[in-house]
Amino acid sequence: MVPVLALLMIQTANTPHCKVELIAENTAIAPGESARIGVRVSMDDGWHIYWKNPGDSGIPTKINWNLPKGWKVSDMKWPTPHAIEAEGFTSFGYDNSVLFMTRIVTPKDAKIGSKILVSADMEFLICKESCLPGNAKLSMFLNVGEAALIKPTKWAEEFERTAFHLPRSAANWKLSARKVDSVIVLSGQHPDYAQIGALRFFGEEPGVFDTGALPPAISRSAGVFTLNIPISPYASEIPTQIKGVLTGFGTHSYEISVPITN
Amino acid sequence: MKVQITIAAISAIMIASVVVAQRAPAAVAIGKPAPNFSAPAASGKTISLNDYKGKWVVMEWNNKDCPIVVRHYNSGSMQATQKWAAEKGVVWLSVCSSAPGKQGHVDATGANEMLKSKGATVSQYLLDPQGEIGRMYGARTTPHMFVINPAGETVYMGAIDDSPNASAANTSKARNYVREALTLGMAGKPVEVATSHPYGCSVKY
Repeated sequence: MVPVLALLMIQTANTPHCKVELIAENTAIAPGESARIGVRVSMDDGWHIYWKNPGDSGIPTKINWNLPKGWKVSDMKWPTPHAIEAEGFTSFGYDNSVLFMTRIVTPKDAKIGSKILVSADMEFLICKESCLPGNAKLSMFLNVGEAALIKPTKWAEEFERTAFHLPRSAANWKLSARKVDSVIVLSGQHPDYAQIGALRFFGEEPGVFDTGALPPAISRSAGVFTLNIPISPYASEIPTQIKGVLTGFGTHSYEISVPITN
Repeated sequence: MKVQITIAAISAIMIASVVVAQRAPAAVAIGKPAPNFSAPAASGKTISLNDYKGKWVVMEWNNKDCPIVVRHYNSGSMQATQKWAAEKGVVWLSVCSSAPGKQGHVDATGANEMLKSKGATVSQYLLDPQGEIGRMYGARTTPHMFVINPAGETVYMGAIDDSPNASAANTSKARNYVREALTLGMAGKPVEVATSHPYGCSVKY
């Protein structure tokens, strides 16, 4: 049976204008410990795929993980998206290459020397000027091994780099949000105001907030900023919270989730 | 405490100048008259929205090669909605705003061939290669749908349904917002979902 299974396994798929790979951070996984695995997409120049909120156009990239019974993956971490501008509209997504990582926890009773089959089904839209559908059904074996013998794979550095650039918590920013007409006024404190550059807000849910660039933050004292984030004309209801990712505060991006008051 | 006051003061300043970031809005808004246009159609006629006063009108942005449009036509769900609407006397205007040389661009012959091969039931297929109607309506995606009532007001704008998938064929379980808007609107009821986030390929202006 094993050779047949091996034939069916596709760990790397070349789809139009991109390559999709299922990868692991380490050579094996140890019982009772967690490890990172991911789907890496490398795209041809100028082509892009989409974030969970694709912005003004596009389709969210979807990945479904399949593991043996009793095994679980944690929520996938979406890397910070970029704004992709064309013809006065803005989409949110990724170009060049991107790694969608997740964490897998090995049961304590997993047998050393055994292996499990991990699969990821991916469906996406890839666009440059034209758009094409993309999908990949990938799978790989993960070896269960002794912690002491586990080594990083060639991808380990990329997992580290991706993790470093994931959106961070803005929990201590004293954020507040108020609705004024069709605009949400978001205020807060940033520890290093000097680092505030060109700001952008990526709303988590599609169609709730406008996708455009934000005006410069206004400050009257060090550390305090105020942003105007317009509600999208396509919002199906008035939002009660503002949730998403802010970029432009130094090197990192930040996750915010703030209730909106009137 | 001092900081809190400062934030409040800044917010007050911001309220006074809250117009800043909004990008040029399209002329289309729910409950407002849908802007009139005049454009050539694949039928050879020149079509104006005003020709259809007193009727329900659906506008569908089309790019025959966009994977999401392909999904809705290959599954037959778009044609089924068109047929259903036609039986109710609804005018269906498909619009192609793809520029020459870009994905989905068609001339009259190309449009008619596509409509025939797909078994589409549209009242007119508007040729908008300069993207004039597209920009007027702020059309972002293919498909991007608008429903206009007999008074000429927009009552729905957004996605065709609640299922933003790239290529999965199952459209039967989706909530079709266009059918819903027409059904409620024709029954004299308010349209429950008047706006939704349009999904699909960007319009190839």
